[in-house]
Amino acid sequence: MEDVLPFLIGGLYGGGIYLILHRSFVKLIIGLIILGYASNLMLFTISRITRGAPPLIPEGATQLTEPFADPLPQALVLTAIVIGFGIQAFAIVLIKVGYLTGDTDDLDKLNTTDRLD
Amino acid sequence: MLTIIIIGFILAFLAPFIHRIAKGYSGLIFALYPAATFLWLIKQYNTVIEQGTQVIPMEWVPSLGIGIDFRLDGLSLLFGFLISGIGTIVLAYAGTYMKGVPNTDRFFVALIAFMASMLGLVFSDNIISLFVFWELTSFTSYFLIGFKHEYESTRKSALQALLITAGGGLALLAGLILLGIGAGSLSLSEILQSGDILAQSSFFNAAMLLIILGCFTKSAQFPFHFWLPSAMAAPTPVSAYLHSATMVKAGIFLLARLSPVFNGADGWHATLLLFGATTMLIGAIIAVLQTDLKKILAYTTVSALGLLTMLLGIGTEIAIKATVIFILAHALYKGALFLIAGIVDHETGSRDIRKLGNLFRSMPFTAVAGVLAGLSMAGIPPLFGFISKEYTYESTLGMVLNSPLTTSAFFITGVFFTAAAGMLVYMVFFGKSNRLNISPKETPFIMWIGPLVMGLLSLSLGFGSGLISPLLEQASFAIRPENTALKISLWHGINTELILSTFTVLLGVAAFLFVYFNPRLMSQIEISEKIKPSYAYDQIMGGVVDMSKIVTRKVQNGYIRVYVSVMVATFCVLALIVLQNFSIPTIGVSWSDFRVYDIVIGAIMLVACFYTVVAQSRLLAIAMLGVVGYGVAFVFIIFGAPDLAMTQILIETLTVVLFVLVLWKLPKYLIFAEGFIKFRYFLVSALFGLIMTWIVMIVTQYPLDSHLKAFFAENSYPRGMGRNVVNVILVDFRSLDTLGELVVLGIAAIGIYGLMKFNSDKKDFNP
Repeated sequence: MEDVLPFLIGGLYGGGIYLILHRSFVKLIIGLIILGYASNLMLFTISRITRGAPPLIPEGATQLTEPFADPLPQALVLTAIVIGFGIQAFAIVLIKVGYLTGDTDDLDKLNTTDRLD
Repeated sequence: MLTIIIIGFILAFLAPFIHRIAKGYSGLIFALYPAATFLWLIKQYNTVIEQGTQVIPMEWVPSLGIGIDFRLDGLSLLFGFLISGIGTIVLAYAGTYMKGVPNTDRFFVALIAFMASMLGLVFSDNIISLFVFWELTSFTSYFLIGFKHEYESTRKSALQALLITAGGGLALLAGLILLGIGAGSLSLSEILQSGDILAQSSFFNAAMLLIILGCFTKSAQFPFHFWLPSAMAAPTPVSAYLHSATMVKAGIFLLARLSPVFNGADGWHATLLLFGATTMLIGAIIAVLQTDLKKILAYTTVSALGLLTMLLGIGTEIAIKATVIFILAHALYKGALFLIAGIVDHETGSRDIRKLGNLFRSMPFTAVAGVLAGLSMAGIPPLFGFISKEYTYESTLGMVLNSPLTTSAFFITGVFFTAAAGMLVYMVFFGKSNRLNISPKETPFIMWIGPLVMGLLSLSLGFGSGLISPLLEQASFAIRPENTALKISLWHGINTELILSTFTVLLGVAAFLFVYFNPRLMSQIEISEKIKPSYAYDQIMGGVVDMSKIVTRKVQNGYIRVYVSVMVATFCVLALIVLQNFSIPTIGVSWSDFRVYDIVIGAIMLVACFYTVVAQSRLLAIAMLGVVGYGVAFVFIIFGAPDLAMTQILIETLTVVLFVLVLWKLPKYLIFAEGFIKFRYFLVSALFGLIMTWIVMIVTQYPLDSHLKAFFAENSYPRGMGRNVVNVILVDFRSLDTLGELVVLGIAAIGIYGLMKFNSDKKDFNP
């Protein structure tokens, strides 16, 4: 799996960006979510992975003994997943409201604030 | 010295409060500041006469050699006296002049701040602090010109002056830094003494040209002269003070200040002579074509600044003496004439010389002041302006090269000066009665006393030039250290200068009479817009605005995909530049470690991701997205992160449910991109994906040294009393981060609630 992960991460990044480049707001959000997966996996991977050894201190011991997975990146990724969910939920409701008020899912029609004159 | 300048800025800060209390008398109170400065400078003057140049050191950024050092010598004292002396008169005058005008407090803030900056500028002994004060004068000038900001033309004039002087300021800064590098010091005293080292420096010519450019913009030399007449939009006390007596002479001051270094260099003389003479002629000629008092004064000021530049360009002993004499003479008569123009405008409501006339009876004191200043401007003996003109003629006649050319250029200028003086004084105070149908009366004492004092000074200095000689002598030493003593006298005997001077006055009077009796002919002379430098300025400014519009349209075009692809492409290019130093990593598959389910999970996720991308229906895309998410959870399980896996599964489920619930009502899944565009997106994203793969591979090849891993492993149980280390980190070691995370979720929840509320006003909305 260690050899597979970089390709998986690359594939997810590519797919995420590709979706973000579309005009549809829904695709933009889906792209963002995939980008989030990719980033979490990347953070997880580059801080080294250890197979099948969760950082749980067994009964009777007072500290972990090698091999065990690094708990710190796990804590970071956990925070990232939860915050990512907050953003996703907000964005999903935003699309809905945007569609109900603006009658469109097309990003090219939602750019009046970026226009000159 | 620093105290005086700081007091000035504090006073500027307090000015609105003082103005609120003192009301109409605030001008007089503020005038105490320059008056006190003037007295203090007299004390310093005696020290300088006895002991020579005084330097007051004061550290600012010692590691960079930047200090707020001050230098008291003849040149800075001459300017210091002008700034504080005329400043006293102008502030007292402005208090009455501005009465009843709204926002006068702002006016005083800028004017007093300008005064302090200008004092800092002329007394600085460090080129960096000099530059800082230089820029401060530009800024305060901007606020003063733009004082009547409700008019568009005023705002335009103020911006024009700021852009030109601050643009020149940039050139000046570059020039000063090069000068400092060449001399190995930022101290003016040391730079002035290292002329020989500097002349060897490879930066010498560049520094000289940049400094000249900066000085030319500030002192309104051709082709930058047009901002000065535009700056007449400022209230008249400002025009009198900044745009004739002090700020516009800052460029002249700096040229004079650095004269000991550059005098003798190849380009110096030719550049100053050429541009100075051109400015002098253009200013003088345009001046007599004007009918507005302030415009006449503005163009003659441009001309006078050209004359000063030309004299510095001649650079001989007599020319430097003529420079310092003319600086004083000009400040006295031009300051007075501006103030008088202000009085006339204030009392009659007009500045048009065709409509004004015969004001002598109603305003005798102002008229006397005007006559004295006008006579000095015309260079008629025994006024101080006459002496100045004699010295100028002596300078041009004494030149080795180009003497006939410069002499005749100055002759023409002198003729026009006389004519302009006649227009300013005779046509306003004498001649036919005014056509305004009003009966003006004399202004209050406080307004006419200033110009009258300046006029009387012009007169008394003509006779008693011995009084002022020591100061001017010190000033001429500062500009040209090898100068000999200066003995000014009114009568030089009958010589070429006197004969030329006489003809100048006679022709000048003739020119004035021609203008006086042919007003219609004069008004027919028009200068084509297209040959004026201001036309070029307008074109350039318009071009800049158009250009930035085009750039903004291109860069900020409102298409998110363009922004994203630019960012991604930039990232790819930068990453590739870094990555080219690393070899492409080898994929060493360790068969002993090989597990089929790894490959299967990876393959399922990639296939699901692919289908999410290409899905034709929204529901399929969301379902495939869920597959990818659960795949991620599997990866977490395999690599010992059960907490992550649990969270991921939970949140993935929530996301899919939310998506389906909220989005099932949306329109048809949009597919816009086709063919080539799609391919372009594909290229960008594929490249990005490859680079990320590459980065992960490279990073994981290097060993990781984490102290934190061991720290948490050891301390979680003893200090956090928890067996799940990840949980201990989240709720114990990094609990503040978790709190922040909760806040983010809370904000998102509030945002979602707000969005739904926002909508419910219009339509029923049930997510």
